[in-house]
Amino acid sequence: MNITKEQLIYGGVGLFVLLVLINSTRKVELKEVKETKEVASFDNSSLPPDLQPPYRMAEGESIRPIKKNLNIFSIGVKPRFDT
Amino acid sequence: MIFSVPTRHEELTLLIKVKTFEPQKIRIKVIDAEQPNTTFTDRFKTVDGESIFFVRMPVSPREAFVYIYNEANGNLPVGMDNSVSVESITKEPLEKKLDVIDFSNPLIRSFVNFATRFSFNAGSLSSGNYASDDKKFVIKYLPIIEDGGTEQTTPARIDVDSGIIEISKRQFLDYTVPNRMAILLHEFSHVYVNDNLDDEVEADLNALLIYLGLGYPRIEAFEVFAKTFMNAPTEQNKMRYDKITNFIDNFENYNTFIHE
Repeated sequence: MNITKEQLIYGGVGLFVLLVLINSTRKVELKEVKETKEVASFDNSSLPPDLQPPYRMAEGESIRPIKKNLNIFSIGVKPRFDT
Repeated sequence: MIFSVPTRHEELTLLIKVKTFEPQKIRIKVIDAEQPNTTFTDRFKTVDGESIFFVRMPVSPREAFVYIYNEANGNLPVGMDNSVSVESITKEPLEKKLDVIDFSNPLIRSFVNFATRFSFNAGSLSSGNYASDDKKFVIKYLPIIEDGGTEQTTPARIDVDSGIIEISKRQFLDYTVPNRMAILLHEFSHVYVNDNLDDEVEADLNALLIYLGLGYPRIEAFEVFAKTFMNAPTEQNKMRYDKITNFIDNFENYNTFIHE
């Protein structure tokens, strides 16, 4: 049986796609846990940087957040909330 | 049944395959094994035969606990409930559509980072004021939101003059991480994305575009809006819910048009 160059290319691409699919799906070993752990003392210092808690402002510290559009209607006598 | 899954803070989709012999209401809950009040999904589906639950997790804990049980029987260990069995749990790459989010806008970049970190940690944060790294956004994490001494039903609101977001900790603790993201993005959209900052529908859809683009689950978006609207079942909210449903369906089918 003669295998043409075209068939070889299609075969190679097919194998590549199959390998990508196999490697991107990871079956998890089913490990049952009986009780959930006591989570009262969670330490967030081990979290990666993009999941670290945000900066907590000190008592009395003030930050003026930016406003997208500042115009005459932005100056309110009383705070106006949108829910 | 509770299974431990090492998710290692990766972004991923969990595929949970379950099997029943007759229609059964199966509950799936994914929580952080370490951090309190941190749930990634809490949903149910009536399963008859084999079915797969897809749990999209743009953020994940180091280790997740996956609860799977028949609502009729409660959570029982493996072997104690023959009405449902778990065939497999697999981790697959998360599908995102980041091209729909305007990440060239530094405000969106900054707020997505801030909101993600706040939502992930809200279960263990104490009340107080929190700021984004660039100090452009502030969240007041209050025990409750009140007006004139009366507790408000809203979980969050934004001061349209200052841009400060107020969050009710009491309500936020019960929300899933995706629910929290949807709420924060809605408030952000009012002031920083909307053309008309008072337009609720515009804020809903702008928030959803970012939320779905990041790969968060659709079901959690439906859930959080339904929860909020149930507290105020007005005609306007019914219309909002219909528009949200339509938007999510179109987003999934690649029919969303974005007007710059």
